[in-house]
Amino acid sequence: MAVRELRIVKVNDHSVANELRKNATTVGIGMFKVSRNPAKLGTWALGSCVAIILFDPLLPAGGLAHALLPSPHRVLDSPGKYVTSAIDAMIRELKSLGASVKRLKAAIIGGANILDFAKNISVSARNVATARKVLSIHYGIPVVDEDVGGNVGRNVVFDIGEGTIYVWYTRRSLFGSLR
Amino acid sequence: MNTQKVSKVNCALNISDFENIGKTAFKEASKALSELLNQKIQLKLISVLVLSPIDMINAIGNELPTEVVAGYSEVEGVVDGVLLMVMPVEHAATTAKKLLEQLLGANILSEEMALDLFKEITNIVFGTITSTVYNKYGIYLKYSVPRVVIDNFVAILDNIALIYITLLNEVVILNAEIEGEEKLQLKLLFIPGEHKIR
Repeated sequence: MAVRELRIVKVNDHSVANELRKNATTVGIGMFKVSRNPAKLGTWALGSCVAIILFDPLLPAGGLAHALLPSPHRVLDSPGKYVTSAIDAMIRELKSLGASVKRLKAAIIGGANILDFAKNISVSARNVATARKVLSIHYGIPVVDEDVGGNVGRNVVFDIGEGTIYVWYTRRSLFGSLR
Repeated sequence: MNTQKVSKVNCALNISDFENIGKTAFKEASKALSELLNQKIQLKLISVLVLSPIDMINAIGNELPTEVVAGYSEVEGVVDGVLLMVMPVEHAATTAKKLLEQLLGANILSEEMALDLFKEITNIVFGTITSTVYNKYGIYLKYSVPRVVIDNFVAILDNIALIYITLLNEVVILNAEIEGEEKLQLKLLFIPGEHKIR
């Protein structure tokens, strides 16, 4: 049996992106979902937020979180909202599906600075750094692929059956929308 | 009359005040834009919303992603925050195409010129908003030179929200239309940062 590799594939064709979007289950902002194959999980409009993807290639099973902030300030209102708690919660639920932490691979997408502010305290960079740290240092899960930073919004579909993460950027053309 | 206060911003304004500001400012902006572009432009206030950031993100986050052209400025004064003017990208493109044709007399679809035009429109709208706020309520707000970006509305809000919003502040949203041959949507948002009275 071929080994499934977790990898990011960039999508440039918007009709392909629309098909991917239609066939995926949406993971909302500040939420997470885990599932066993077959499933396609999608999240949209990642700005400074990060999508954290976990994948057990053997089952296969995987999870996707759309986290807004690095960690809770006082009260943990929703685990999917924070990088730290989203990773904890996804690992817990993936284990209950039969996944092994030792087999898990991770990918991180997002963390863009779309707007150019004078007082940018860069939540984006902290989101990405926290995700890397919690995954690799705390859990020993390798981050095998990333598409982070920059200044453009991203959309993501994770195909758990293939281990493929489809990423496309927001179209940044004014007159492209008329053609 | 709706007297809901924007309590945490604490600048003593309620929804009716924002309606007044919107109506007056858009009337002034319509005049200025009509003169600048040498054609009748009418900005019309449709509704005013005051939402918590969570309600705003939930309300907009549940919509499908929409790409927008956004003009934005950082605001300083009684409160700090961000002024954001957004228009669906298709509407902005249609408007820009017509205006460029009118101004240049030729079908030149220059992205750079169109975005500069949008920046100028943003500047006029923000200028009339801040001067209306000052004239009516004596509240001085200074805004930075507007910048323009095309991206997903939710991704833009998410960027601003994470930098500026404390969970206690409310966001003011003015929904407007540009009336002409067709109705074009426009949203103007004021997203306050840390509460501050100077």
